[in-house]
Amino acid sequence: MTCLSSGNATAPGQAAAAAFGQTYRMLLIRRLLLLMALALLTAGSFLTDLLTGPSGLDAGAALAGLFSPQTLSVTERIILWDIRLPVALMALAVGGCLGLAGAETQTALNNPLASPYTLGISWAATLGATLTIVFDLAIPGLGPALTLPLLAFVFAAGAGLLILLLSHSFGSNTETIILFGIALLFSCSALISLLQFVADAEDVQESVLWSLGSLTRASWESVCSVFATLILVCGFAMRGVWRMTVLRGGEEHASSIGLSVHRLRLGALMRASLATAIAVSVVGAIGFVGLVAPHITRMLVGEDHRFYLPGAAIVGAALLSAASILSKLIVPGVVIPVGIVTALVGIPVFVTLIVLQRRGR
Amino acid sequence: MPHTFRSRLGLFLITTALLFGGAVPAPAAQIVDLKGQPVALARPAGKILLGEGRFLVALGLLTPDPVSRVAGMLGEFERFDPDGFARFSEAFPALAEVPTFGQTSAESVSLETALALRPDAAVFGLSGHGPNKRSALAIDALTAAGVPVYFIDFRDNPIVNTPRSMRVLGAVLGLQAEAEAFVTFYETEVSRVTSRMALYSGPRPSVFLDVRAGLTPDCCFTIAEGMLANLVETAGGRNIAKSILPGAAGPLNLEFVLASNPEIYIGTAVGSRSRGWQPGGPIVLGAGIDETLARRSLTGATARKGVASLGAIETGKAYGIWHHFYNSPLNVYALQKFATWIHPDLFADLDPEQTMTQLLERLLPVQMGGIYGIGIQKPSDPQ
Repeated sequence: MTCLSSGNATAPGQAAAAAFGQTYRMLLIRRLLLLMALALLTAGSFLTDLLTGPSGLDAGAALAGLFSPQTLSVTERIILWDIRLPVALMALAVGGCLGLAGAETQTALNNPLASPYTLGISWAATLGATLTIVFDLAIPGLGPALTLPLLAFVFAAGAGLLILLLSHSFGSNTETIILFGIALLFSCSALISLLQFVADAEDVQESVLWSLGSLTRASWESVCSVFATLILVCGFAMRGVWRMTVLRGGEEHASSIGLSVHRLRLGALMRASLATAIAVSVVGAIGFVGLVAPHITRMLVGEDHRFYLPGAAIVGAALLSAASILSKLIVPGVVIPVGIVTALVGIPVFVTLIVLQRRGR
Repeated sequence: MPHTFRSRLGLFLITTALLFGGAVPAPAAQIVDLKGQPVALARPAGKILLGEGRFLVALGLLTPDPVSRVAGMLGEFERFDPDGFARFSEAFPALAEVPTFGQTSAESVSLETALALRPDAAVFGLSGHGPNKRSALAIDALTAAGVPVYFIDFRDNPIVNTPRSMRVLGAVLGLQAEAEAFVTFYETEVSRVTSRMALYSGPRPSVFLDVRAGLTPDCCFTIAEGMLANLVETAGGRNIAKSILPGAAGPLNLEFVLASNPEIYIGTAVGSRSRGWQPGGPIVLGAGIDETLARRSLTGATARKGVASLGAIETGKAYGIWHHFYNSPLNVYALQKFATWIHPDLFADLDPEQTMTQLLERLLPVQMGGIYGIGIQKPSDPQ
């Protein structure tokens, strides 16, 4: 907010302008440094994720194996390259997608409680996955292994499109969009319950496990597709950072300087839908990151979208990466579904930040 | 408080009965079910409710016409084992007319349907895919309606509870002699493994049970207690999931499985011929399955990411077992098969296929022949 008013202010005097420019530059540098610190933290978390696991593969050997795989035994190579690396990268990619999607949704809907979950996209993905599980669906030529994420994506993207279509036809009033999203969420949830009711216990278990989210489903192909989406969406998002920053300042304000709030909103929701759909279709419905990462970012770097959007992606990646480490450590030999752990990791960070901020005032 | 004391004493007696029921033989006339209640019927039950459709196999081991003794059952048999169900339907067209009073879980049970079928007795599993020992509402309602509910179990503690359960079924249906004959056969076949293992003090090879292998691309859902895990332990294997999983069943970390490097891999087969098999799908075993499809599906399921690099697959010690042995009196075949896989030298003279042939003969007229256990290598292949 500080940045918003400063960006549009006209300085009364030369000296004041210089002082102001100085303060603004300092602010930018401070935020840039913060962003870099967050990125470093994420990188550290990624490395730790890569070096932890239930096998005896020690950190030194793993690090060496990263650069020269031939130093490892076959099993160690598979553990590092086919199990740990895709999972660790997937945590970053999915966390990034969800963090970014959350930030865009909260700005677009001008609501701090909004998240990709609010739009019903994650629930739609779960509906698609549950359908595949309960009815043993398999697209000819693809097999059940690829049918599930594909159908989850089709449903998630479908939900996103439906919300966009409804918002386009009935006006992009934020309340309307949120209510559409909530209606979709409850419809999907009811259909999932219905499917789980008629399904047998094993299918229900599988569907529930899926909806809890798991990074262990990561393959190199899926890691690449999520990363590609993250880069694409990030690219489009960064092109609109100024306009989104203006929108954050208020709908009237944005309209008054000639921006089409409607188009801006639809664009942001489209990007958020795509990022969420691809992320949850691969790893399952992980809800919490999309809600909390934007808040943490806002508290740290403010709402200038040049910092806020990449910041949310980085914080999301860090959260999920930390959750990935913890999910392996709680019960050695077992991977606790990352969706559960994410909330357990994120909430302490979240609450600490809130307390610190309140005390700072 | 005398009342509390009495109820505590009762609880103690029931617990004791549950714990030692297998060790202390009940008098011939008095059969106690798996929940510790005596089977007390004025005359044998004509038609009974089956808490799981798959209990039909247990009935089939006792009488040549099991379907005529079923008042109603759950629909999970057809759903989980369509090939086996089809064989039963061929032998007994009347099976199509047997009403179902629920699908595949305790929650799906329609109590009203169950009562309307007017069965003479009901036989439920202690746990599993139907009404169970916790289904108080169903138990109370049926008992109040004059339908006694008895409990059997083939899954929580298969080796100990299978003979007890068969005796309960025999007592309920008035087929005591048939039940006794089966129990004698069963215990003889079990002792072929247990008597030798009791004297064995050598190493116990590590085993990984890949439950429903290939059903999803994920890996490592397994069992730590009861069911097939119990058979692995009895057959002299060391289950890598034991004392790792917090519950009886759950997913292991693939990395943990790779690092444990189990000597023996056993995938459980949930595929079926009627649903069709395609590469990347689950292992297919059971009624009507030939060796080619069985082995091809096992090879496919073990080619999954990570699993493919397990040492057991390289050394040819990768096997597939029919999943439904986990809840079936036919489980003695799985026990013997596990024993020959885990200790091939110790059990070189054991012939599980012979045991299976005898089991399947008891099921006639149902033609359940097929491959129920398979190794990744043909027996003629070099090890």
